[in-house]
Amino acid sequence: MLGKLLKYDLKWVYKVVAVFYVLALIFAILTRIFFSIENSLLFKIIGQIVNGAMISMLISSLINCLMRSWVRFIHNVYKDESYLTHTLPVEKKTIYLSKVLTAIICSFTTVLVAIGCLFISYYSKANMDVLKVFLKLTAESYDITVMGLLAIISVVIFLEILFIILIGYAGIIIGHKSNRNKMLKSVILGIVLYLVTSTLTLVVIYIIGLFNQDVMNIVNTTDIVNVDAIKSVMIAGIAIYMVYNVIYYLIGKMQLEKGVNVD
Amino acid sequence: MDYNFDNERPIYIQLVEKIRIEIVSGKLKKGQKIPSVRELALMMKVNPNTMQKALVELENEKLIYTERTNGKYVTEDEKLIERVKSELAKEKIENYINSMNSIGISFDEAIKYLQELGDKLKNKHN
Amino acid sequence: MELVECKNLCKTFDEKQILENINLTIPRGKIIGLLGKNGTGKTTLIKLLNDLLTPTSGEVLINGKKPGVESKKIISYLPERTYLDKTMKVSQVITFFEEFYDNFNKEKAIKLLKDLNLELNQRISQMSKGMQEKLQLILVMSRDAELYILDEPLGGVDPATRDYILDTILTNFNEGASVIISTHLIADIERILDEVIFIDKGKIYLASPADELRSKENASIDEIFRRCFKC
Repeated sequence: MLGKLLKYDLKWVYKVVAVFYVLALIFAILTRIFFSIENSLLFKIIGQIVNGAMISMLISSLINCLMRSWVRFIHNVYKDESYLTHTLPVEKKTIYLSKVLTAIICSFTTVLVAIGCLFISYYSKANMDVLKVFLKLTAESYDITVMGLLAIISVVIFLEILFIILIGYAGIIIGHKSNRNKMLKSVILGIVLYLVTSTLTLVVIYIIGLFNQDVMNIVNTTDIVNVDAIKSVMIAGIAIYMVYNVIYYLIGKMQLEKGVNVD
Repeated sequence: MDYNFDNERPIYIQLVEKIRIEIVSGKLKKGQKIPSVRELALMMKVNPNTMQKALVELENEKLIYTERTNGKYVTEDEKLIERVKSELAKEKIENYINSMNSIGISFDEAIKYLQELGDKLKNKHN
Repeated sequence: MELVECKNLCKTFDEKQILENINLTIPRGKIIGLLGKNGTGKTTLIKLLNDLLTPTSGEVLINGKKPGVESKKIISYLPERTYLDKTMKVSQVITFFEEFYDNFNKEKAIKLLKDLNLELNQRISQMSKGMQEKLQLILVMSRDAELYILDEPLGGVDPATRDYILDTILTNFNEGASVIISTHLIADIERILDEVIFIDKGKIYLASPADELRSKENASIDEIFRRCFKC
């Protein structure tokens, strides 16, 4: 049953998100083409425009990934369609798991497409060298390639997007437990949960900083940021977001299994 | 059979009456197999349970009988059918007399009306 | 074991008591009318049977178990809402039902759709509300269920459609199954009812076999209902 639910959830979310993916990729290729034509001011200007278009398509796909996951969740679990969802011979936790998996897959592909687009648009030896110069010292001394660092950053971004979606789900589930102003409460709860958890993240990083001078420097100094510190913070970020995601997944699951009260 | 029911009286009783009329009028012939409960219910647009109850009642009156696995049949007892028919006729006449009484026409007068009008109506019908 | 059993069932919303101490059993093989004016708790009771609400106290048992996967396999429920994903086509909805319900009879559904001249490749969003309601009725009646729960299936439709709906219900409900029909339009359906349940102000006012009630009161169910709940 999970597979069947997932099929319909993904179809619904991707119906729009995929369009933005395709557009972003097309604009990425155009960016590449126009930037590679030399000695033409006109093409440079067009290149800047399509580049901007690509960025906005990427942002749209991210926003749609978030919004469509949430809207699908609300429609399916609490609005008119819930009359069908909750009368399917499927357990509530399976319905929830399908939504969470949809969020994971959508966040993942969005990050993947973004990396792909950026790579198509900007990858060149010269640009990589600039990046290497910027990061060089530490990247070499700590035996980590530029690509590796970018990969870690991508994973953090993926987990952050997933985290935002799951917090949204938790906000919706808890907000809809009350009998009035369900939507308003869901939104406020989502924002409050996000702020509280984000503050907690800063506290955790500060605590890590107490034991790790490099990390503390990010907070304390205005010096050029130490790449090693970035790496440490990113790895800590991965661990923290993993924990958060598991916690929010479990909160949502437990609350939903108690049953729903649809209007 | 007509599908109209009077909601003020039990539906099954009305079904019994309707089927009884079908039998005495010969629309359902003696010994004829009758459709299944479900089919009959659909025909009459009533609940199968109600139809079942009506058939049980008719079976008690011996107007229909069940042949173990083959379904239900109209009785072959002509005397019984005749008897039921005359009972129904009696009922109709009583109704006639009663309604004549209700508009101020006495028993004897009512009979006279019937005889006078009878011939005219007969011609019309034929 | 009873098909449906409600024991001391209560439901409150924000201190407001919607259902009060409902004790009820629904037997197998009957057509039951759940009759009451609007806003008396009919839909709340039905939603509790379908796991769309959680009881405040008391319990609902379907075949002896709380509502869940097992009860959803055997209950075919028609809500008053239009609950289909509007972006889907009729054929996709049919596939959806076939995938999720083992007892869904696809051939029957397609035949009923044909009778109504509904196009399989039409989108739900292009259909009128009335058409969507008919489609939902077809989907619900195409399941070989043990219990059909129809919430206001006759609400707001013309008399011809009303006849069509009653016919569809009568022709398609599974033998041995029970049907619960909630409505406030009693005259239209009373002839097909085995039993009636009057519900008022969140309580069971009366529950009786329909014909018994008619004989006792010498009146139609509709008439008896009007007498009971005169405004």
